[in-house]
Amino acid sequence: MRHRLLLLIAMLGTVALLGAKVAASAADASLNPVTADCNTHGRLTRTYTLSELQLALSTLPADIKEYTDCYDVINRALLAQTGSHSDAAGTGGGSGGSFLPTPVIVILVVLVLGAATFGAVAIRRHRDSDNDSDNDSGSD
Amino acid sequence: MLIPARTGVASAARDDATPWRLRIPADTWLLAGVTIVGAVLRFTTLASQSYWFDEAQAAHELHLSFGAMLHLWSADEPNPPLYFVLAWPWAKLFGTGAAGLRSLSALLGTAVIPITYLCGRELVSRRAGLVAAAFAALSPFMIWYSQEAREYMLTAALAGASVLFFARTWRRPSRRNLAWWTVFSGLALLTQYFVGFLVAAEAILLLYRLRSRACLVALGALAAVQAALIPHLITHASHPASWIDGFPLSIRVQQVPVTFGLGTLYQSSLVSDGLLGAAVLAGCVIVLLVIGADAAQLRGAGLAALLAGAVLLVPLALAWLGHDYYEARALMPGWIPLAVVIGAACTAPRARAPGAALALVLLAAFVYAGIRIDHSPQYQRPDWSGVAAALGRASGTRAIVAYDGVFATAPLAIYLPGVPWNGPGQTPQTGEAPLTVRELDIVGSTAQRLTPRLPAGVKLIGSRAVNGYLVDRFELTGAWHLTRAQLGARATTLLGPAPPGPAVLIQYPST
Repeated sequence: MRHRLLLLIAMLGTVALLGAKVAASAADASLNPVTADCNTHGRLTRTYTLSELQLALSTLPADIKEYTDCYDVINRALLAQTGSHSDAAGTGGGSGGSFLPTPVIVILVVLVLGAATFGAVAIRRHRDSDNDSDNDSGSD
Repeated sequence: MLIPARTGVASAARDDATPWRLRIPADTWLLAGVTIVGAVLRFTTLASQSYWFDEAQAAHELHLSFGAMLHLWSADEPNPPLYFVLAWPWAKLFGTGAAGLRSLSALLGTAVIPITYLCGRELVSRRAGLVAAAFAALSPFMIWYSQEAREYMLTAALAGASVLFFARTWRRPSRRNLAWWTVFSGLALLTQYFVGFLVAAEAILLLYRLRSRACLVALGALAAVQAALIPHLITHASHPASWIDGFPLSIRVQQVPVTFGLGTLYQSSLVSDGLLGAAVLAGCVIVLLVIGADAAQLRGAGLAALLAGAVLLVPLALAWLGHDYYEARALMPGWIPLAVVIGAACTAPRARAPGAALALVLLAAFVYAGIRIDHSPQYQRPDWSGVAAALGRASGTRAIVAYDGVFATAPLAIYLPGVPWNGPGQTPQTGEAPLTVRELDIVGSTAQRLTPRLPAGVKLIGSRAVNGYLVDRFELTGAWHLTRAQLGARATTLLGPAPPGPAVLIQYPST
């Protein structure tokens, strides 16, 4: 039991360490401000105009495109702005909307249902076998 | 009730009568099936994507003579030489085309599936091994690097073999097991530097467990291998860091769980949920193991977790201390131990149903990511062969301005005949001597726009979109006599706005 507790503490420590905030390094000063914001924070921390977002997307350096999600973040912010005709100022953070497409949600629901069914059948079998063993011992 | 034991002659006769298919354990069939699925996923789409920068560099180096290849390796490659030493004869046999060169990685990536099974079986149980092998077969991360002409799958295979013989030595200490562990660990150290974190953890654990002279000899041999690599390590200590510094450590840490699970979807917004996902998964794994695993399985999973933790967390601690080389693909040696831990949780005997559900969810996530990557050029390697096809043949000397800068130079030099090699190890094409060109082609992106009014003497002769790239070709009525920097600056007035630092390649008519 003690070993399990120690292992649990060690694993929780690992999770906590992984989840901890890691200090961010300085952003590259030569980057476009939108790109620099995304590269530093992993998202857009303020609102940008349509033209600022378009400029950021067209001047996105290849390494940023390769090693980060900034293309996706800026593109989403851009789509959010062009999609909402009147609210140009309110959709600057690039992480709006569900990131899961409908087919995936369907697959996940099916899997959860499958897992629940699987679990229910397993529990039922377990109970059935318990009942059987009770009956066997009762008939002795 | 006692069941009478089968007597030798009768049982032998019955065994002979049993069809051979039934004598093979079910695990072996399942493993064979999983391995075949993994092989199909790796080999069938081997050449469907272009070489990217790193692979183009490897393809260039591997088509040279052995001596020239080693010279370039020592000058430019940040990792030890074993992959290049093995890939060089492979390239001579199968060529340096995408299918030929990547087939080595695909073969090694397929071998990683049974190696993962054996690690899981040795450390935890057969079931855990099978689930871990299924993860290896379907993982977009493992499939991606099984199709990459670089050292990653050799690293995974050798690191996996090191884990396997570590586990065997741990459970059944013998000189033979220790010798195999030493051999595979040494080879893994000769393939990639981050393997050192795995082997160091294994070495400490074995030293604690065995406390024998043989163990000290083995560690001495591995220390000698590592010491032999120190000059190369020191030379290249700052080489990879130069680009890593451009990306905050916090972002790279978030990318690790997404990359390990979902491959290149780290380039999507999913990455912001990476740590949360990792935390939920880790929570599930811990609960399942603590509640459902028996003591021996828990010990095995704990050992695997220690090894994975050494690879994932020691470099993170070093990054905090200022030696930052932390990136997901470099952490490859930790993937198999991690898969074994999760496989153990998914097959814990007293939590079968929730464990199976977790395995299903993870495998479904792998399949989803694989399909999404397969259908989205954005998450694939840049389509440089498509760009080269759009550029077509050069009728005269032409300048090609690529807005992706250095990322474009090596792949385009591979795919475009008549373009001198401009990748690492070669004299960069940055000379200031003016060049005379009659055609200027620009490789930009579909986010850029052509200027509404072309200058006099410039005529658009072709424009094609290629998976996010825009290839515009311009005929120059009067030849331009400009330096590369001037050609790059002129290009940005035609198609823009452009990122800084475009690369300018000169293509000569090929025979």
